[in-house]
Amino acid sequence: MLTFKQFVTELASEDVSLSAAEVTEMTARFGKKVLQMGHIGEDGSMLVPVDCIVEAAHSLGARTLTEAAEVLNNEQIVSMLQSGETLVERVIEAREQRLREAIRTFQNERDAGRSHEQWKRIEKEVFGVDYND
Amino acid sequence: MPYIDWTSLPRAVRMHLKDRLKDRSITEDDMIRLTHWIKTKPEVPEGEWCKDFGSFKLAGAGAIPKTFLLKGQPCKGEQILERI
Repeated sequence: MLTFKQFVTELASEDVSLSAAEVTEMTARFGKKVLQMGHIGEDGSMLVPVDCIVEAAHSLGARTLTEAAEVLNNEQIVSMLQSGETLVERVIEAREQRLREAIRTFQNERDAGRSHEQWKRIEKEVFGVDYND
Repeated sequence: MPYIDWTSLPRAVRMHLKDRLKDRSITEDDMIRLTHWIKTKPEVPEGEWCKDFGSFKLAGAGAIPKTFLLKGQPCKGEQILERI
C-alpha cells in the first residue's frame, strides 16, 4: 500500500506510466481502445494523464471503482465484472474531453502567444510528440 | 507495411493544421477522429496514401505524413478506409 507521501507524489505527477507488458495485458483483456488512454512510447510503455485517471475514478463511484481495482488485479474475473472496462472507457472520455476543451480555448484565444502555447499542448496530445520549435 | 513516423511531420504542415483549426475550417470532432486514429498506430501503404477525416484529409507516402488537405481538395494515392 502506498504511504500518504507516495500517494500525494503520484497525484502530483503529470502522468502515470504503464509498462509495455501492462499495456499488452490490458489490450488483450479490454481491446485496442486501451491505446486511447495515453501516449505510447517507442518501447511500448504508455503515459496516462493522472488528472484523467482521477476524473475517471470520481465518475465511477466507490463500489464500481473497487470492482475495477479487483478486475485490474485479477485476470480471472474480467468476464464477470465490466468495471475494469468501464474505468478504461472513462479515462478515454476524460482525455477526449480535455482535448476538446483545449481546442475550444485555442480557437477562442485572441492573444497570439497564449494561442500558440495552447496549440503546442494540442499538438502533443494529438501526435504524441513534443516538437521542438 | 510501415507505421507513420509522426516525428517527421514538417513544421509548415503542422502550422497549416494549426491555422485551419483556429479558423474552424477543421472541426473539433475531426481532430478527435484524427487523434483516435493515431492512437491505433495504423499501418499505411509503402507508396502514396490518403486518409479522409471529414473536414480534412491527411496525405502521405509510406511512413512520412506529407500534408493536410481541406475538404474538397483531391488527394492522390491509396485511400485508407478502415474504421476509426
